[in-house]
Amino acid sequence: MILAGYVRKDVFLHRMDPRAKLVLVFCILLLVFAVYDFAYLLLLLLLVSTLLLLGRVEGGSLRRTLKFVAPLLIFLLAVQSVCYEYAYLVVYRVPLGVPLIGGATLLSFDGLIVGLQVALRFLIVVLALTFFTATTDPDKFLTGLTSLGVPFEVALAVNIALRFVPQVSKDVEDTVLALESRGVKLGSKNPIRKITSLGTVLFPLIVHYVCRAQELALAMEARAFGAHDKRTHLAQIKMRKADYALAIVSLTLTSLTMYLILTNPHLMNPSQPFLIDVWNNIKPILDNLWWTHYRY
Amino acid sequence: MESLISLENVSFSYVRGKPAVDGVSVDFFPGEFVAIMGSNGSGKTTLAKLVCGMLKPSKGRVLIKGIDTRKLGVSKVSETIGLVFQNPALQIFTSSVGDELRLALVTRGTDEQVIRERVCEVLKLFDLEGYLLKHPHMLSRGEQQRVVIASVVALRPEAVILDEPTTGQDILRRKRMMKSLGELNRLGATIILITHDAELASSCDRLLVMSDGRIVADGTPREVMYDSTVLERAGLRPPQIVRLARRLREKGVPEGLISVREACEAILRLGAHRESLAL
Repeated sequence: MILAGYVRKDVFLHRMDPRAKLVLVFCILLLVFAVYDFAYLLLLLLLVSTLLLLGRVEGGSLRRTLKFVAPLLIFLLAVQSVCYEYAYLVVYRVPLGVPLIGGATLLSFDGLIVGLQVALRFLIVVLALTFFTATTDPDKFLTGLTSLGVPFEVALAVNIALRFVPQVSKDVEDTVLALESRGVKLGSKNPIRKITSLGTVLFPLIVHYVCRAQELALAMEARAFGAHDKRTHLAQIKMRKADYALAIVSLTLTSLTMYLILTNPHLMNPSQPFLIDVWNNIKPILDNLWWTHYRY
Repeated sequence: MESLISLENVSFSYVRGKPAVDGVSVDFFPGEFVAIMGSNGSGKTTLAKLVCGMLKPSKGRVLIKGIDTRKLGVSKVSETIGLVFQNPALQIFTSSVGDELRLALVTRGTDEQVIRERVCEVLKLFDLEGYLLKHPHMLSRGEQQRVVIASVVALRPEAVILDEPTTGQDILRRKRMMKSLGELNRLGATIILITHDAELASSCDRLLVMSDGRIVADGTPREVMYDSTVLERAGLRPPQIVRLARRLREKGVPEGLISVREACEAILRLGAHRESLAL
């Protein structure tokens, strides 16, 4: 399961209006994509961690989320540090004598930094969304979405999708076990066999969910879903002072930050001098290593 | 006799502090026909998963022919024990009944000739003749259930565990399924049947009752079904024959009746006895 499910707790952040929280999360996401400097990203990470702590998000579900995204983060980091195109602080270059890839950068300091930034951005996005799903009652979220002008059918589909996540993970497990209990090994090391067996597992699941969706639709219609044009909501939400305050503060701070960064180029990259310093310090060490003569 | 499956003081919990299976010790012997009863959430399915090595016990150990399941993979255990899950839709992986029955045999590299024989055999055994080319997902739930059972049985495991196999089956099919399972049992397979159906359970050789993750009764259905305190505590109701025999006890009907045939004989005998007294 990627994002943590909602666990009801009597905490301030759980009681907040989902729209206010949505604004907050939206601001965080906007900033994550607008800034790329470490200093800002770490600040955002700190903010998100504080939110997770205040929202009392369970450590277990957070750990599961992190375990799920960890390989992706490592992959992003690896790809960037190996394939960064504009690298000029090169740690290792493939010798020119090697056919086809001779002269290509294989590891660069700036690539590593960019990789770390990308991974950090991704991590912040995942944590911010986790914060939202783990502290927001799906019913309130549904009401919130419709009040923001999202068509009810679409909002309901989102809500149902979120709600079925735990069930899906249980069904996947059962299906895999059913296949294994017939002696079909899924833990095969061969990657091609692994992918084909994945298809085998998906087949019953997809068929099952199509049937289930039809049943769900019928069950909802049987309870008069869509019978009246004007509808009310089970979960009532109301923007209180604190909610308005949160939304306004997030929006103001975000616009201010954006304005400052965009108008003052020197604010764009505050940690750059520090990083250049780091590079100047490790350069002599790298120069003494055995592959020195490959760098030029 | 050496046991096929042996559980030694096995515990397992999904949530810390709330054991789903709590200190269970039990042995299953080759050729047995066992039923496991228990109310919802009493740990029956967890027990089945523990036996198949899909869950590893947090305490104690599960031995399959003397080997700890911790040392065996699920697919290794499956060579000895087949498990049929509750929801048949999640266990169907191909687009025809024939392929479904062949699937696991083919992956095991079984000889084509043998595969054909086995498929024919289970088709007959589970009343599936004529279904060979049908799409399994187009079948009813009861039919799907039979397909899934057949595909596990086609592997000829030494033991088959069935989790509520009779849901969605009409009375006739249920009877036939029990007959097929009985046939399988006569051929030497151990059958472990997880069920809510007291009538079904009382036709087995041995009956276990589970409650709150523990085994609270283990004996022949005749013994267990008449132990009203245990059944009541486990939230179960004895089959109708047993309830009838209890009600008629004062009228002279003996206890320990478990099948319709036995009950008929006992009541007729009683009638004849009365008539002879009247004469």
